[in-house]
Amino acid sequence: MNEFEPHTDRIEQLLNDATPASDVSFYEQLEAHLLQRLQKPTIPIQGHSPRRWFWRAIFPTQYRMAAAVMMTIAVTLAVFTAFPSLAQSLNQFFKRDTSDVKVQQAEVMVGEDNFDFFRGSPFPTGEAELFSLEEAQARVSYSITVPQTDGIFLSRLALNEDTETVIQIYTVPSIRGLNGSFFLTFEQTPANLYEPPSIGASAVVEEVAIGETTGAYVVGTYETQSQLSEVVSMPSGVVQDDNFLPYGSVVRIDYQSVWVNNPQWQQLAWQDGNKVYRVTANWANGLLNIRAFAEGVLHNTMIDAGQLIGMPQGIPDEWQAWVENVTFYDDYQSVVYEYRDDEVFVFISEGSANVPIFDRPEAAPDTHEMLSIGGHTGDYEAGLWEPRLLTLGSMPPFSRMTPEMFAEPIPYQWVRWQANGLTREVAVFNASYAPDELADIADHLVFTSPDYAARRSQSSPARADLRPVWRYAEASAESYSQFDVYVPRHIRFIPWPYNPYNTLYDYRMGVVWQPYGIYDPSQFYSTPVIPEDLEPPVLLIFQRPLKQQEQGLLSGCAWPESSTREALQLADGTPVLYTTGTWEAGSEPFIPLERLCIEGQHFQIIRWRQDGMAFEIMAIDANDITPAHLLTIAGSMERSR
Amino acid sequence: MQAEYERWLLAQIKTDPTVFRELYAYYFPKVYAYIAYRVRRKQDTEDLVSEIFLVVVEQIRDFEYRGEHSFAAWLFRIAYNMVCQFHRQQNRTQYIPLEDLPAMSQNDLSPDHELMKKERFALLSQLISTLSPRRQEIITLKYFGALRNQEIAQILGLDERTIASHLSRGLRELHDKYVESELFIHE
Repeated sequence: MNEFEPHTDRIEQLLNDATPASDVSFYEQLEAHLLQRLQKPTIPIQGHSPRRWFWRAIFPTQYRMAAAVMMTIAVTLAVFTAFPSLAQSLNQFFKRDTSDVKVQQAEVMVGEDNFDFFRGSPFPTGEAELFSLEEAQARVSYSITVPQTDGIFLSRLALNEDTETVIQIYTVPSIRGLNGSFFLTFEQTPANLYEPPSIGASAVVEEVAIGETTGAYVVGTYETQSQLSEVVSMPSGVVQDDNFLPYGSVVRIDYQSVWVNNPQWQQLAWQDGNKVYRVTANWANGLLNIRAFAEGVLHNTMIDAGQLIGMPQGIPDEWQAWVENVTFYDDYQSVVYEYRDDEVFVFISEGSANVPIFDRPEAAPDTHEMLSIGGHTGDYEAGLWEPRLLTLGSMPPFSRMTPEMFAEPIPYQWVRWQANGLTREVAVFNASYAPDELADIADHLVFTSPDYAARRSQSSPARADLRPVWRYAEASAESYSQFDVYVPRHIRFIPWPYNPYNTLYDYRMGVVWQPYGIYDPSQFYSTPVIPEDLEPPVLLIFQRPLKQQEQGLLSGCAWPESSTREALQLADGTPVLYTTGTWEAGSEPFIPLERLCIEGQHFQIIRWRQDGMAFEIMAIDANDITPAHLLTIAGSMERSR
Repeated sequence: MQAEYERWLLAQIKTDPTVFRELYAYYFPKVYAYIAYRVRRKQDTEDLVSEIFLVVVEQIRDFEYRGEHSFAAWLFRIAYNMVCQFHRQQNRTQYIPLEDLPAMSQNDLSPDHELMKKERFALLSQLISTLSPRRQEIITLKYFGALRNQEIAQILGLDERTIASHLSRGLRELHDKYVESELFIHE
């Protein structure tokens, strides 16, 4: 082989040369069988199959539990929309059934990639149900509105073309990784096509004020109680298998459902103009105030999809549009366009803030140069993204990436420039464009920016009490502790990849504590439970009302005399004591968890007082956590509600 | 196969099922090779190929001809779905002994030559399996399904230019992996 030969020719030749072929006997036997089939009339096979077929065929084993939950969701949603408004007995938003018990039917075709759809995963394996905003807009007769959300991210769009219902599925990065089980859907339907979903006879419907209109709020859902029958239809001629249904099989299940006033399920519907909106959330108890979400939607978070679609123009063909996202935070507002192409991720953002929209790696870039983009001076950076060095928080889009994606350093490149008073960035991961090439792409992008300033002035001022509550069990901890619990203002102030566990009140110490650890969030289908064998690296936040005489550490760990202490201060000037060292022999372990605060572990602690409270943040064997990280977390602490 | 001829065969099949032989003879080797690369084990290949063609004969009378390559796209869409289903059901990649791999030719190769080709197939299929799922599909559909980019785009629901881009990058990646494996073997 000539080594100068173009290498793809060489590999092509190898591929062509190693083509497997069937035995003649197999070829002939199958041919005879097929011809025999073709010459007979086809009769679909109807039969009763073992129940395990249903689940195994539709869902991978590891997702079975989540799948069961999601199927309930799917069926519930399907049933909600299956019944036309026979009687406007309740009100315009929900239709009350005459009983809490009903027989329902689910029909699923094996092979449809329905699992990921209902997971609401931002990383779908199949794109069958994936609509971009633009595609959805082309299929409905009204202008889609997109909530500008604080802290949650639009992950997928689905569409019911019969009712022109656009369903926007959001994930919640503040419990990042829990996307598999937590979702929020925001639906909009023309009022004349809206079909009220059914609710149980005992469901409590509450009238609530949403801005100047009135909505209906329901807690609960239909839960599957027992399967009544199951019919499997398989394509004829397909060989039956003990464990799996073949592709194309249809499973129809009749089952009995009972309405349960389960607070983990919430629905809120209201009408504004000619559209009915409905918000549905699961696992919402203690996590999410969907009324606040609705208020936010009405007050200051709506944007006309027309302003987002097709922006920016000039995207290279190989970048496939995936989803557009609008995010308004307290301190910046941005529109993020996301493109995916297998391993390559591209984010184009435009924002009003004069700060980088995306996080930066802590390590210096391998390359940094200035270049010209459409007459504006821009920055170009390239390097390796080392996930454990990630600086403060996980602003979009990185909070949407799974830990697996950060298992290895990722090559990144980005250009950043300012135009028309807005900061624009193009960030590319896992690709290798020359700086000029990237600048050229950036130069050819045409933005038609929403008028952020005008939009902001039109909206109501942000109301803290209307902000969605995304926290874990602060409410519960508050009820036990009898004091206001403080939490980091936003998950982005917690360095990646630390994820929150539950929030607990330790009655012996009188302390509320919140651990953040590195774990695979996908293992949890509900609130993450702190494992008894939790090991470092770990971040812990402790708090309690000030006592007259504070002694020792809030965490109860023994104070190591050999530690180094330094006086620091928060951005607002609040004095902070920073202590670092190694736990010594004889150190008391942290009582609830025996593997923390033990000899040899490295620690960093900051302590401060604020609003009559004593706080302590401790990092154990968290070598990538710096004092700056701890100070930033401390500076972001605020009352949870 | 000429598009017009294929169209005629598909129309004819409703009254004369034996013309299916023609389509089968043309497409069987492509489907077999594609499946062999995607699942590797001979037994699995034969099972999947059987299932694919059973679905085809079940539905072929309802197939709607929508122009040149529409049949190939439909056929390989079924094959692709079967492969996806197969991989969803597999927990992990398994080592497959050479004797369990498919044969490399219907012709009588010398045992040495057959063995050499099998080893090459084993290596290439293993290297292909390290590419991203999408690139695996595109390369195998291209080289073993003998499909054009337009048909692959139709099957995978992607833009044709995306296919071209994946193909080019995938081949480069595969080549690099191949060279690396050769170096490793010769060390």
